[in-house]
Amino acid sequence: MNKQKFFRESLLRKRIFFIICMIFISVISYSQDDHEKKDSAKDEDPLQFSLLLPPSSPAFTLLDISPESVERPGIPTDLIFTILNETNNFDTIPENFALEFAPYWFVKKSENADLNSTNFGQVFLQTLTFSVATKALQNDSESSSDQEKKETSIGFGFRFSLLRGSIQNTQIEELKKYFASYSNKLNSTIIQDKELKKLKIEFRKLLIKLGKEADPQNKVEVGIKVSEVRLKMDNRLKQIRESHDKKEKDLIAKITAVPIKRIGPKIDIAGGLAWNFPDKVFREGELQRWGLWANGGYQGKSWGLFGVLRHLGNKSTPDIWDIGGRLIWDLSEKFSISAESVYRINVDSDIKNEWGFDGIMEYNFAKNKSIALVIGKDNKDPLNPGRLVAKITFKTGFGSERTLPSSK
Amino acid sequence: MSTQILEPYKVNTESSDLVSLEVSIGDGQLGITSVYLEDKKRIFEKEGDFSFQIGKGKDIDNKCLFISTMVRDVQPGTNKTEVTFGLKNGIKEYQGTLKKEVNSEGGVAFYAAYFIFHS
Repeated sequence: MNKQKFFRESLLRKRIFFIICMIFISVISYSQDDHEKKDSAKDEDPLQFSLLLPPSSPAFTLLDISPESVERPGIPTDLIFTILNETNNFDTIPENFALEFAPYWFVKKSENADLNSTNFGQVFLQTLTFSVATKALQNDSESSSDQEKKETSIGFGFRFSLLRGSIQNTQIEELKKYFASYSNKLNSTIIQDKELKKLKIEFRKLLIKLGKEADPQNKVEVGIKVSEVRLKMDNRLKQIRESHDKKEKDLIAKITAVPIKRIGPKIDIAGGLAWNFPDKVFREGELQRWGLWANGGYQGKSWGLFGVLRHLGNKSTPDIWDIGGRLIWDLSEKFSISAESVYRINVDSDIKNEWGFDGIMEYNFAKNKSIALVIGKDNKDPLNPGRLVAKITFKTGFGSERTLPSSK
Repeated sequence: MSTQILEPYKVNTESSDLVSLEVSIGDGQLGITSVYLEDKKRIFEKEGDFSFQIGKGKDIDNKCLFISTMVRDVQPGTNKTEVTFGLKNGIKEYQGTLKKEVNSEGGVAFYAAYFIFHS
């Protein structure tokens, strides 16, 4: 009965959300004037809080790439091998290459790597990641002699946390509950499996025989039989586990769906630099773009309050500073509402500093996929202030399926 | 990449030392382990790293130890998961490590270890 009620309420919420979306699509208030568009970085960087959050891979963000394949070496030798291989022993700059690594996990395993450590040093080390990327650019030159020239961009980035909150015991207890059911059932299946039982008895007899066997030739033969039976047991255990996982798909889905959210104060920092190398000549390289992101706030169980600071620099356009704040409330695991505000400061520029604010309703309808209704004052265009915007946005993750840079 | 271990483990039936199981979860991920001895119900459950004393060699001889471990990816910097199983105070020490990279952030990997005690 409770399940039916929950389903009806969930369906009702979805219907209400959909109807609201349709109403706003039909009455979009949007002012556009004919005017010359200014060529500035702000046109590429809308004042949305979520886009100001520290990126997980700043090098990729500065080069404006979303690589399908990213090298993620787990040990130092893999890192060195990757670099040597891609650069042809430091002879060339690779094109369209992406690398990300967390140096702490090269050398530290579980010892002293407390999952919930609040020590600044430990949190910094555990969360520190570096990103490196290259991108080949076609030079849009009108000169015929320059048409063949290519530029290569290289980006370096870092990211770390100083505070990350902690995983609550209640979340772990929920995981334990589902996992206990999974592993109890698996153990029962293993105990009751007749084939595995038979192999176990045969295996034990062979082990006893091996222990007592004095003749070296016979010992070798028994040893071979022991290996054969052991392999059969291993295969049988694998079959039992695969069959169990197929049967318990729903239980596994529940285990995967348990939300593990770090609660408490959070501070994330990220930064990066990007250089252009015309025609891959190292000495002609120039620093082209740079960025610094800082995000801090508090994540509660069903709400969060965050501030964000971003600085973006570009060789050809004035620097910008973005300062923003966001308050978010999770009505359910999939549905949230938030209010955010961002102020842009254009340094050394005639462009007016500008405010923007949004109200957002977001629905995560599948893993790494969400749809949002955004209503607010989006002041991208300084010549047209006070523009009211209402829009529907759809976000989906590709590639390695990292969590979308939203409020979470 | 295998996510299971199946090994015989020789115990000393004349020693009073308790054979102990050690499990450690790598890469700063969240792991939960359930331990079962022979045909009994679960004898132990723990989150994270632990050391658990199973019993004396003569008490566990000819029995099987089944360990089921689940590792959930909670580290934003990596999707790698790793578990190390170890046994001590038998005739020899044993240690084996299993690894798996989950497909997406927040993914789960299941591991199993099956030890057959003998003398």
